[in-house]
Amino acid sequence: MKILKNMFLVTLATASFVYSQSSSAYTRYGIGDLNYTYSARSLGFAQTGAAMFHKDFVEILNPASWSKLRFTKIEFSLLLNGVKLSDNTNSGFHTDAEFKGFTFAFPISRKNNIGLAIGIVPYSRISYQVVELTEAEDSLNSNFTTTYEGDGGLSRLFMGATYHLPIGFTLGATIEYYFGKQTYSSLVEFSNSSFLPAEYELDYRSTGFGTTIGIITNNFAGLFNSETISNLNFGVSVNVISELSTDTSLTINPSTVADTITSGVTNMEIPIRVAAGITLVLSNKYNFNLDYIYQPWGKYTFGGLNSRNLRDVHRIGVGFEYALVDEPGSTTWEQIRWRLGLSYELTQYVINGTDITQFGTYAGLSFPLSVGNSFDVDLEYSLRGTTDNNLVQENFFRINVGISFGELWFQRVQK
Amino acid sequence: MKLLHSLLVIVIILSFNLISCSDEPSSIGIGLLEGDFVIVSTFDTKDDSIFQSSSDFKEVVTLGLASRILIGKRGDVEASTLMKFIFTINDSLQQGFLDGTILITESVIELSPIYTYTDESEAYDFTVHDVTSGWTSSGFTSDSLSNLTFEPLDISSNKDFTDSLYTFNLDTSLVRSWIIFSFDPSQGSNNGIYYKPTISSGKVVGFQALTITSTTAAKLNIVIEKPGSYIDTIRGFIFEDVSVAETDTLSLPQDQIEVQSSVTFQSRLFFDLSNVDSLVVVNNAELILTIDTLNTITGSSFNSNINAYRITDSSSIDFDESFGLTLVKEGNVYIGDITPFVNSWLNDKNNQGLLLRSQSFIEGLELFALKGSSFPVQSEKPRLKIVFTRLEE
Repeated sequence: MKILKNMFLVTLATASFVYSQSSSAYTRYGIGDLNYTYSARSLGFAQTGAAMFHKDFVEILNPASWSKLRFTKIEFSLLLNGVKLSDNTNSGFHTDAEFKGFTFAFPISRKNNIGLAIGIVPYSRISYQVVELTEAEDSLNSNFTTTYEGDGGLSRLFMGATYHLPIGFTLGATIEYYFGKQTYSSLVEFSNSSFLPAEYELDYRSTGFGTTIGIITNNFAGLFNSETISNLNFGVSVNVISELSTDTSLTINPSTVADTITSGVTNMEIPIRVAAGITLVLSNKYNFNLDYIYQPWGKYTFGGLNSRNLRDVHRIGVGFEYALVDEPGSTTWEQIRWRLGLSYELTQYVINGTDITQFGTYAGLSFPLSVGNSFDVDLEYSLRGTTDNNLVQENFFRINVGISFGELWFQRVQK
Repeated sequence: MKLLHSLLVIVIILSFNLISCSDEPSSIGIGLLEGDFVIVSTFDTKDDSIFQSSSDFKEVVTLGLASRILIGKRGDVEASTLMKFIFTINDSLQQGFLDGTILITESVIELSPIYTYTDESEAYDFTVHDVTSGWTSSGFTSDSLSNLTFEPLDISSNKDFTDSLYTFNLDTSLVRSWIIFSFDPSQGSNNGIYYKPTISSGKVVGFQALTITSTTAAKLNIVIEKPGSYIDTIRGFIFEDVSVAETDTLSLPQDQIEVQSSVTFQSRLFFDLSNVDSLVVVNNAELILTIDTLNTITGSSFNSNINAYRITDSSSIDFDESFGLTLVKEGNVYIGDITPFVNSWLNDKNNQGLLLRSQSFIEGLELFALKGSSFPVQSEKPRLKIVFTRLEE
């Protein structure tokens, strides 16, 4: 456990020292790249699991999934992100590290499938830096670089619970508080040191409430009367966010003075997100997830205005997991959960009429530390965008590391 | 456990490899951005005409802290000096001065010349007068001169002017009265002497003034004699000195402005930037002033820099003296970076122009003639060259 702690600290410390950029200027639009899940385990699953009950993990795609937790769970996750950006003429590789979230969950009543979870996870991330060098004209007498940078995003603080409905379905719901700062800055710096730099910083600070309501059906495996099919569940979750009140400010920042030029309050409207999925378990070992996510980003508005660079998201993910964990007497090696996944996404970005699509491949494993505890590592390679039409192609290489602690808490002692 | 260790090592190696591969940010994706673009542009009053105005004015300042005292006359400029000596007289000598048993046989003032304005070969002379009214070096200016009273009689004699030393004899009876006053203030007074150039003088000479570090300021050597007993030399120590420099008229054409030390002439300059957008950031603002070399007059040694200050109240010409920017002479122009002023004008929306004065405005008499805003040649008017950044519209 000490090794894990040290590794986590080293990774976090390293992350803070390096220059960070996790994506491209696509994230200039809307609220940036979207996070559907947060944990290492779900990444290896191609971020699927809308219909999956999780006994030993806390997932956020569908709150109904917390109903069958065995232990009190504490989980957190860190993402090391590498992205190779390419356009028609250049390419570059950039990295950063990102704390992906923290969750705490525990079962309240196994009989009624009541579980409760709280956590804080990112909802979106803006991360780009574009640097342009301009040679001096005669009248200017100094070369200069312009750095366009976007940073920040939206985070979600949630608390939710599950309940087993009389019709056999499990319902989960959360109340969520959304907050975050999105910063877009343009910095001009001159090679001639006597020239002052100029920085324009546009800040949005958004806050508001939302909810996610999800349902996972009971096991329909019996319909097939097959010993091979252990579980068959369907699930759907809907995430709704109220209009986010957004403080805006434009700050002009020469090095000698800093002055907020304009400020105001407006509303940001984030469209509803629907995730639907099927989970099939074969022979109690092989989990298959098929998920579809829809979010009509064409309806996103900021200050009442749509963005012509956003469109509706359609995402299909397929995940597979091989696990023997419930079998007693198995070795450590046999208890490792292995995962694979594929996804295809029509992302929310549409630039100059070109849809930006993403294809992702995933692999990972959960290494058991003890009963209810695991160390999760998952890898992702995804390809987004294209170099056609002067656009950008992104090759993502991601390592997601997570730790899931589980213990029996809140046990009533029989006297 | 071995398996876990192996897994951790692999993850750590992969993580560090991933992190260490990061490249510098590049221009990839520049075409995707919109709305955040900033544009760097230039604005030059040489090409883009805006309203500007300039003028010069005289401001009387005290020269008490100057490192030179000025005596002489050149053209319309006349410089005169007040000087006061003090004495430390041994108790054993005091009675001798009082009863006249100690005689002053000679008193000689030595002045060390360090500056000439302008032609060394010009005629030069001055008279020295006993001052009969009070003055202080910190408060005396050319405006005070009309209230100064002094005896018309020239109390100097035996002048001997060389390149390195100017000496002359001072009336011994005056020196005797100063000495007695030094230990018995009830008798007489000591208001010092007043150096006044003669009409025939054609130059101004600067001498080392009293400063904290000066060792060659004016000296007063006094030869005393007690007949039949001894002859000795005592010294009077310079206590304070101050010059005043006067001129009645501006000597330049109306399309020029001037900056002159000691007299003191200063100029003010205004560029109308009221049409500049508040979202503009001034990255660099360069002020360029063209020198009229024919009308510029300089002495044997001088600081050629001009300082610019931000005027805070144009009606009374108050300015922020704590923050001056330097304009440096380069060829036939003065150039200086006044970016902080221009940014201040735009940010505070309070542009009352700037004030120009010699960086060493209490030293020497240098006159820097500059072509003003009404100069007929556009390219030689005061020129403001701005590099600025703005958001793309």
